[in-house]
Amino acid sequence: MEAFEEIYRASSGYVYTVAYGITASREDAEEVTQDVFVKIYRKLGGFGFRSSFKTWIYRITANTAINRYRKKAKRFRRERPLDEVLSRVIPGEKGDEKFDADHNRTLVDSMLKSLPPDQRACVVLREIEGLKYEEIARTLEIKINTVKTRLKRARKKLMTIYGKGEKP
Amino acid sequence: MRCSKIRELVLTDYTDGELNERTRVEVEAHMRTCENCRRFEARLKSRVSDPLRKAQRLEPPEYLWSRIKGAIEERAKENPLTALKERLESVLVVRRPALALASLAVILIAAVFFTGTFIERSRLNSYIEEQVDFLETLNNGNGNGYTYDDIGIPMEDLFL
Repeated sequence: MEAFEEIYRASSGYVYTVAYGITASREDAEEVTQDVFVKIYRKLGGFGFRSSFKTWIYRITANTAINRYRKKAKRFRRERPLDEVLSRVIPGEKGDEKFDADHNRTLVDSMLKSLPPDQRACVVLREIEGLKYEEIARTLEIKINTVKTRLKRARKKLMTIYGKGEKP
Repeated sequence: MRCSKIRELVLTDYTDGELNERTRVEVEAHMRTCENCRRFEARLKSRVSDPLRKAQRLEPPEYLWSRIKGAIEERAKENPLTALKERLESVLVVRRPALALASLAVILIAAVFFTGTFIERSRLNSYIEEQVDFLETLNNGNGNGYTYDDIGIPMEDLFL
């Protein structure tokens, strides 16, 4: 268990960040992180080194988080629209240039919440985790062109919502 | 290159540093002369890419490790056999089911083919053996009712 704790310490940051980016909720990100590490513990013996260990963990995290988000969205849709549940923050004209950590985090949360989960996963892996297109494609098991299409749609949408204003 | 193509590249490969050198130079040359595309790229960077890229990596709360450890131990305690089975399954899992199925099919086809050939061959062998026995009995003159003596004349006389 000590060895597994070391794996946890080394990788829980990116697991939690990706989980939070996709689920847009701290509570869900914690649940997803827990599920991911229980899965990793169970499947560690079967890890075949066909992809890098990090890609493998990213893949489990993205799949677990997307599934959780979809289940939750489905449940909420039956009761009320998800947009009403997730608060949306539109940045002020002046404040968003400062990029202080807290304000930036609120802005980023708001941006990610405006995207569907598939696009969120690509945006988080590209922009926050800094993965290349090829690595994202391997992680999500999709084609590179699909990665590009999702990023293009996500950025177009984010430009429509957040790209307006006086300054560039 | 037209503005629409430039903006498409700005939304993907250019912003992500995935363009080849020649196309990147072409995009930058276009932006030097096209203010609208230049403004589009600057706005994408400052309003969308920069905030996302500056987002710090989050760390899970400290209590989460205890929860995970507890969940793993609880699972093993509840049903040690299931936990062992799961771990063994992960080691013994068939990694490429399609390949495994194809191999199994080849083995089955080969088995059926060789078994069939073997059965055919043994039937043929026994048929040949029967015929050889029969011809031998004819030669020896003591076959089942097919002797010269039975008809009382030499065999050649019947055909001459």
